[in-house]
Amino acid sequence: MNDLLKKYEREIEYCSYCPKLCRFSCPVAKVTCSEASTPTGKMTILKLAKDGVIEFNAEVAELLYQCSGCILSRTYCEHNIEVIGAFEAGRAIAVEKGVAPKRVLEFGTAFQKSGNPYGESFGKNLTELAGKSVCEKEKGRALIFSGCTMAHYFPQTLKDLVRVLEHLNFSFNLLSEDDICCGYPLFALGLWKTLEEHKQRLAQKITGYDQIISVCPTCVWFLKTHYLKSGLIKVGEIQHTTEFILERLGQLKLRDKISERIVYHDPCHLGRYLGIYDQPREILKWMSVNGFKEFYESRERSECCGGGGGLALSHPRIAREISRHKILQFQQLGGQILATACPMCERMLGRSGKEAGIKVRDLISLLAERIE
Amino acid sequence: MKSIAHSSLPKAVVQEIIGIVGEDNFSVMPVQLTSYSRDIWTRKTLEMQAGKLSEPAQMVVWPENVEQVQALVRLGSENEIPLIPLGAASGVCGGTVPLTGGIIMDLKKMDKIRNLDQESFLVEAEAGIIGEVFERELNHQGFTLGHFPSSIYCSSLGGWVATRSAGQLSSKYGKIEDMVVSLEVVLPDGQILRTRTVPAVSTNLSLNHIFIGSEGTLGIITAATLRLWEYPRARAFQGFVFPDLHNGLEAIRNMMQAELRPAVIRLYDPVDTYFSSQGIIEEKPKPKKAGLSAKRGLIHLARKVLPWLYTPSLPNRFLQSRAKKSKLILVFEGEPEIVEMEHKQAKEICLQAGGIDTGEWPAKNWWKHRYKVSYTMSKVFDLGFFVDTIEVATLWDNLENLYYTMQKAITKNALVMAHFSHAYPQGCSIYFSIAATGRTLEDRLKRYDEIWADALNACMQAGGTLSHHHGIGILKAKWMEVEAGGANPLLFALKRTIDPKGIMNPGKLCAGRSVFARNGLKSPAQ
Amino acid sequence: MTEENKIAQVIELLVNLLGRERVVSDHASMVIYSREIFMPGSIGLSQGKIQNLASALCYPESVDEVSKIISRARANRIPVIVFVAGSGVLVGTAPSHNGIIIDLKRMKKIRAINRTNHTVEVESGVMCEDLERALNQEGFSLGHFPGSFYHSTVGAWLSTSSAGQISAKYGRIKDMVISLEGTLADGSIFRTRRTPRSATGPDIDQILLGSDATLAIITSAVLNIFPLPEKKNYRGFGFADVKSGLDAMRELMQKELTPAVLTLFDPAGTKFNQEKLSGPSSGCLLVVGYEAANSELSELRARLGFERLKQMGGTDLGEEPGLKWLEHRYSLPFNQSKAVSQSDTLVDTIEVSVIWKDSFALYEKVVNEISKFGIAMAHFSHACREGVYIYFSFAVSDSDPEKLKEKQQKVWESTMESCLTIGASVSNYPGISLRRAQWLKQELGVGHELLQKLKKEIDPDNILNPGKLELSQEGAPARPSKMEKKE
Repeated sequence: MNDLLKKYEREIEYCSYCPKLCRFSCPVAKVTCSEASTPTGKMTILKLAKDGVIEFNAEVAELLYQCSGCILSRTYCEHNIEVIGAFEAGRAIAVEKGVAPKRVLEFGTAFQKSGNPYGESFGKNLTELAGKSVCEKEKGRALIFSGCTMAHYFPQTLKDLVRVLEHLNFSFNLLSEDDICCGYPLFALGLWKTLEEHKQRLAQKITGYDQIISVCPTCVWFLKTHYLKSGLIKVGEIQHTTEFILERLGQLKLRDKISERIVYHDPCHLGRYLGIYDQPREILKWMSVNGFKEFYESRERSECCGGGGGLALSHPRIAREISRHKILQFQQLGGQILATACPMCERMLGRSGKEAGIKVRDLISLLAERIE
Repeated sequence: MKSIAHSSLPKAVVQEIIGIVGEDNFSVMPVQLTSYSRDIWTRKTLEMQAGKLSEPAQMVVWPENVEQVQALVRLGSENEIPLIPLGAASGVCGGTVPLTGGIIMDLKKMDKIRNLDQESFLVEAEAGIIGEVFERELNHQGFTLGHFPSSIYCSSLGGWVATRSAGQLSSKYGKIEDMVVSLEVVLPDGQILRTRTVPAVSTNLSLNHIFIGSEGTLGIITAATLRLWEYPRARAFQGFVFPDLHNGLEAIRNMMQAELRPAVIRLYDPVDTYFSSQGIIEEKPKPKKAGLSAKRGLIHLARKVLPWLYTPSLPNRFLQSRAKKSKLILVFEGEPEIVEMEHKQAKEICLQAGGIDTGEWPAKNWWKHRYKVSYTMSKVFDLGFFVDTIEVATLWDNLENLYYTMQKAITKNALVMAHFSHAYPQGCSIYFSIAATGRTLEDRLKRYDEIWADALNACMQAGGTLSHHHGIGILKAKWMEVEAGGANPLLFALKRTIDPKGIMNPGKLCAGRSVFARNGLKSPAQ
Repeated sequence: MTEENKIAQVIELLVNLLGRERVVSDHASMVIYSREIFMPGSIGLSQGKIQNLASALCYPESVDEVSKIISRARANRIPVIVFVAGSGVLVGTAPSHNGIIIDLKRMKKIRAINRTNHTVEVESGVMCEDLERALNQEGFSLGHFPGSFYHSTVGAWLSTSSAGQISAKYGRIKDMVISLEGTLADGSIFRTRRTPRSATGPDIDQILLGSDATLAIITSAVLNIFPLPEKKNYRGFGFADVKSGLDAMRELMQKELTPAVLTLFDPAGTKFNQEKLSGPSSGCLLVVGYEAANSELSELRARLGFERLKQMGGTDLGEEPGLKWLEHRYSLPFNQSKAVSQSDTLVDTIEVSVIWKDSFALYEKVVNEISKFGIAMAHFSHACREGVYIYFSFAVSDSDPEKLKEKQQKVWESTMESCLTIGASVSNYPGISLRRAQWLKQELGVGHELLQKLKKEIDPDNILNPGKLELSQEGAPARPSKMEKKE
């Protein structure tokens, strides 16, 4: 156990001594209102378990899963601590010990069978959606990595992306098999053994491209940090669609611009994880007549949709409450379109937004609607 | 996965509680109870660090409205179960630490802003709202509460009122009692007291002040109506350095007595000034990643060696004799023209007192990092040291006496430095920071207790007050009798009247076999 | 032991303690003192015997003496009334008989004026005017606390409900008192810490200041003092109506342009005082005054404040109304007017504390209601960021004294009802009994019950100022109205 946590030992100590200044920003703590759910609370319990003061049991494990990995707490931490790292290691320990929540263990088993979180067979559908533009690997130097969330919930977004790429005369390949998940859910949930196997399989399929582009910032981040950095794959560049699009903004022609009131939501994985704040904003500004509005807390301070860190699986009710809080703010701001750049955010905010009749759209879709 | 079998509360009581708050709003899980067994009291951190956990409460509940609080209080009263109201557990004196089991009533689910009266500059909010969330919401509407304790990110409105907190900008905006217009309190007999939301009437004065500072021992504050300020339209920063502490104190006294009301007025004693390089604070760039795991070996070494090497009297003596200068930080905010004039007049006063103008940067820099100090706690504890703060106050003509008396008392056991802030025309508060260590947990705790005993005994002797704004909790309860100056019978009468069964936060505020201890149970050991 | 023996014993004790010249117990003196202290008419003749007479009056000179007297009185279950000179603090519907009166007038030392701390330590028997004069000589002042003008001694000021009022300039009650010395109702001596502020549990000073001398006797206090202002900047402004006048007041209070004096007269009040104050012939007069020791800052505030008032629709009437207000302010109240000093007319004042949002609605409602019974006028002052005090003055006339009293009662009742509905609060209570008192219980409710229980706890035999906090059978608390005092 201590091997996995050794890397985070200092962070765990620091957090347990801290007067928990970051706690007001923790979305999970806001929902549960429990001291245990605060970053400090979770780290303290982890410390006590690590030190053998308390038993590392199912209760401890359950608490460690109460984190969406939004790392908003890092913004309010002078030590720049990203608590999710320690929790992910703790979750791996929990899985190893067999004390992780049942849902998580069952998820792992299902994933092993299907190669993705949803137990779906994506292959044919995606290729059909993409249409004629998909080219053979030899010809295309760029790979579109759709990611499981987009493929499962928003296949239309793939169509939109393809449309934009066609408009740009950009040739690409598409990974359209069942192994369409980058593996992040496994990592976040501590199913690290299953993850290793999956990584080996996927790496073979995505290595060798000049460019990998994805609508999903989670995939971008995960591929970069867990595949590219370790040398598991050799790829020229891994980009999020907003980076890709911004570089080519001059080549795009709009039929008309958005006149509705847009509010932009920074996805945690795009913003705090990848540092991409400006690109989506530039695109939105360019696409709209009156510009767009920010949430009260934006950029480094942007609040989570509840979808990351496996929270939507391990604690669906908490995840949902977190997204509702965002929707409430959107309503207070009088927005008409909630724009974002992440399929998971679109999923979480879209579902809660639906209850309130709110439109949630990915930038790519907004763009695709308006190009000539 | 609520495990009723593990609860040490009677089954019937637990069932009733579920009936009041629902399945989702209570917990007896060890992981939860452990998380609620400490606040930010240094003593508790030391214990946790060494793996020593204190006896937890028997249950945590999260009432969602005042009716649920009422029902819970009645239940507690009928069954004589201790009740501990809790906001964000950010206290530094053990105020929310359970001593005799009982039920922790976490009020954070009561976190709404009930009403914002923009015409009357009043806001009614529930006790469980976290400070920074509250302040940001008010800012959106063009207001400020003006209350910025360094714990604003992690403390609650209910906690503020219950402990009589003060914020960093209190010299302008006042303290929490200056902000409270009316309260909603659930009394130990289950009745709801709502003092009237009207400008100053005398019965309000009495009633409000019975509960402001009661630290959970007289009732549960569930909501408060507070007076607001307009969000400031201008802000000015100014730093000064004085040749010695005395001149600096003269300067701030003269400023307050000249009817200036700087938002921030902080004078650092020579030792503190020495550490911050006489006004030049280095701005460390933020590291790109959390690379804290480096140099772990060094930390272990430091932890082993330093306690043996550490004799605070040496560095103290060195610093106290060597360091002379005193740094002053001023911040003004409000109406632009008034800010400008106050700034100008303050400068004149400081120059007259022998101060050297250091421009706006020292103050601007402090402002940028004004909550930073609290983060250093982690570093210090990780190194094997412990820190704490002792904050007192007195009138001007006694201030230096109090400062030197307490410094002397603390010096042999801990590195000690101080700053003066929360200034008034009549006096000022002193905020001592102490750092010390010990070889084992027992050593550390012993030294910790000694530091506090020496400091507070010196304080009482020198005529200072026990606490300016941190409150009493468990830590300072022993000295309340002296502090009260003979008025303790009134305090005890209040307790006997309002909480005759002694169920409200037993063991806090007053020590000994007084009614503040749990009836029939042993008084908690310090 | 008979009641008389008990009394005799106590008188002997007092004499032993204080010396014969400081104890008065002859019958004639007791009649005079009792009449002065208790409500007129409550000392009555019944079966040839004068009812409700106190037994002895004494003049302690230190807190230790006071403590000893209280303790002994307690031991013998003899009520003690503390008389704070000139203001008839105890005006109860149920005065105690055979009690001891403690008169603090011999505790009249100004113990120390501290220039470093800007504080003064002063005993309760000192007359406020004397204190102010002494402070002025040192370049200081007690400040603009209204109570200090109404009450003659420091003790009276600190013990009455006016302690709850604050002036426009000094917004904080704690800005008044640093520390108190005295004895609790159980005889224990206390001296609260001399500190500008603490977080050491409930603030004893504030609890006592609001408790109307039922929980403790304050023998001396350390008070804040303020450097004398150099210049006074007073002005009058005319506003078309009460609403715009109130908005203007609120603007100054909420935007940090707080003056030392801010008083608005409603049209009736403006007209009534027009000659005296050189006010406008119609509409409302707003008197604004800036004065502070820091004259540069005060001048700036004055300039900004006057400008703002003009922006809010005020007509600048120049200095005259302001200066005249300063001159005449003690002779302004309705009751002082010769026009209403007739035997078939009764004049009274009701003070109401209300938040800004409800202020105009309350004013309108109350004035309309009163107009059904008599004539009314109002002025607004003691403003703060969140609200203001309204002083309703009214006069009712009737040749039948019974009907006259009824009219007065009706005015009070309808005003109280309005306050209850709107959410305002009356800060003074009548010394007369009032028939429908449910509203009073409602307004004071749980809190009042708590204070009564506290009183019982610390003073189980109801020794100290009995009857003060109790509601009479008809439901009226035993507190004086301003009118009764002035007599």
